[in-house]
Amino acid sequence: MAKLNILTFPDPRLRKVAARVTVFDKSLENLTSNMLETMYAENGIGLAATQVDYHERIIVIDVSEDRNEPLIFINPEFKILNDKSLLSFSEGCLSVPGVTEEITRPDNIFLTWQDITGQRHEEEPTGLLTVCIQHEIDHLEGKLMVDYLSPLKRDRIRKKATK
Amino acid sequence: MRILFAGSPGSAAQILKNLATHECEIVGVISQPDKRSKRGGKNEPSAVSAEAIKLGIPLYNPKSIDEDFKETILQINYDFLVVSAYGKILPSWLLEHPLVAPINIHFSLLPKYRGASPIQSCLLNGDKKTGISIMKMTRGLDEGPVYSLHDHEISSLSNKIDLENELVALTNKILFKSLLAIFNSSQKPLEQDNDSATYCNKITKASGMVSFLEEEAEHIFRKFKALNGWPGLFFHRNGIDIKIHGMAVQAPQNGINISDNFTFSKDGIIIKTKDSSIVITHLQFPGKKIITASDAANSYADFFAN
Repeated sequence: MAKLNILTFPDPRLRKVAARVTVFDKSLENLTSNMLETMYAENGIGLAATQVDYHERIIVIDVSEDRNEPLIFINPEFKILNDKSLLSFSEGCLSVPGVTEEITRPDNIFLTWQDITGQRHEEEPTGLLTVCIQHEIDHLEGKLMVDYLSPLKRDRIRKKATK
Repeated sequence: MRILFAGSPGSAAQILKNLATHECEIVGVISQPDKRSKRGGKNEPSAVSAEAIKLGIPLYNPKSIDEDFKETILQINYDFLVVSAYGKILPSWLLEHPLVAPINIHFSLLPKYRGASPIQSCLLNGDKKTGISIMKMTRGLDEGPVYSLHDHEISSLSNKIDLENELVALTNKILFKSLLAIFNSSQKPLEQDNDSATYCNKITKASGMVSFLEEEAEHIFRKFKALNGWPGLFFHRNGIDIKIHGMAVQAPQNGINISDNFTFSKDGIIIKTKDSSIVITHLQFPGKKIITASDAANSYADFFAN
């Protein structure tokens, strides 16, 4: 296992769109365990492969209090089931250190993904987990939490980051 | 084409930045004086001031628009004054000085939503469509004749910040072209239909307060989207303002008695509204962490008991 280096905003590599995972082998297993190690070491609740400069559709998450419920989602996709159900949480991001901002997201989604063996799953997550999944899937699309902020705040963060 | 630009917040800075990439000369920028920052003693320039410095454009930050300032500005010649959320009232001499016209970009389809909060107001009213108006500025509040209106569809999930970003992007797409059309063809603007005008007020902290029994569920939900970021949505109970972080509009359900104000269910706290009910899924007491409704049921049962 090894801890990976996390890219930080405004690194252009964070804007790459990740490709679907098609091979479920030992190297995928290694990558996800390194991602989990990195996430735990940095005290994050989620990490997308994009953030560690692997541009494949892989996210790891642990939203449990005791940090002992690791989740791995390969090729995750979601549909919004109800646009009359919203959450507005204060989000932070390992790629945008030192910044937390309130972001509004749909609470009621239908999620499909594959596990590390390629097996398909589906679920309707809610609450913190659904926020975290959407945040990480955004990374796979090259989208960052700063994109949800007003232009003023985004510029301030960019200025601080490039100092 | 020579432009004097006036504006202050981030949205205006984005517009200035985009304008500077086109074939025109920005001869000066007017913006609010630096604000004293909350943390530390260092003063903070407005977003527009910061952008002007970056672009190397002469910057004016008058505390008041007085005789000294007038003398300075009257020495400059320019075709357009372009104003986007400057935040001070402009005197007649400033509006009359441009060779072609003083232009204001307003984030609504005028004469709807004249005033300070057009973005929040169209979300609060559940509009499907809004847009921007390119207007000739007059002394009145967003009453000037309009050169062009540009429509924008509002998606059902859009909140205030999304919509602001979209309208800035739309402005950047059409502003320079619009100015060019006015410049080249001396296009005449059309007077607004004052009889159909509507107005919107500045958003304050109090705008985020909900009175459940006096408001319809859909309206509360729209407020949640319109006021996200700041001030957010609050309700008052037992002398405390509680912030709502997650909510859903719920059709009235059989089997659940919502004659009481607060009912705990597996979906969240069901609260009776004027017309039906809403469900609060996440909430926050002052100075505390965001909690789920079931945490609230455990820790704050007495607080919510009738």
